[in-house]
Amino acid sequence: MLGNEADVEDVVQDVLLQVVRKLDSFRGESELTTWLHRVAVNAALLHRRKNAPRLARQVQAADEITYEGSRYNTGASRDRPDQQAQEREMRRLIEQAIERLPDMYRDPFVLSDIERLSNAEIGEALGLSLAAVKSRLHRARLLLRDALAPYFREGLPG
Amino acid sequence: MRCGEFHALFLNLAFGDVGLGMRGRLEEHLGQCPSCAAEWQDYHRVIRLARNLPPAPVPPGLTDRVQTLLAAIPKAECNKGN
Repeated sequence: MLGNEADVEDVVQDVLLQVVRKLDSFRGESELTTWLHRVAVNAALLHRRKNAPRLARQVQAADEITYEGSRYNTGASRDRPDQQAQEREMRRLIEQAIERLPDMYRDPFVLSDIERLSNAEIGEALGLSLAAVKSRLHRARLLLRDALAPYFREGLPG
Repeated sequence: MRCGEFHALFLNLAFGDVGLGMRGRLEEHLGQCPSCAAEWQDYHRVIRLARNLPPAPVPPGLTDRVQTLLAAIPKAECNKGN
């Protein structure tokens, strides 16, 4: 959900402080992990809003670099097709494609398919209805599928 | 079933939001249509890849910095809720 390690670190520290300060506001109505996820997601979203112009510049710069890297590395793995290298390449490609997703689709995707939260938990964390979570998650998967389709056709593992 | 009908119900099938009868018809279409079957397969490949992504590495030194931060929080703050 965040662009770089420094932002992640800021949010981790912010979440820890919030957890310590707000633990008394946890009423036990949801699982502790759900509450923690909500605190973490809110902190990440707030951090992203505050830093939106800077993050947008970073993402653009990263896109320019990784696009060149992608073409180079894809060619390299074709020349030397050992399984581990191909898997690393596929992971890199999907991480890159996830980074490029618009926030509204990336957030549900990351929380669902990487963090393994339930759709109900995602709805609670992001303030979305269950139908909206499913719709955005589905859209994110379709966008990723379209982005990765050329690589799937090349026979990269997945 | 036509491809258009399958696409219209793709989301419902993906989230298990279809009845048994409709599910059977959709699966029958997948068995007969290589194009829709490839789309369905690639959709699940994306999910599988995401689920198999290794956890993001913890930035170097973060654990130490977090422990320092936690140690610096006054005890009173930790006990605020009690």
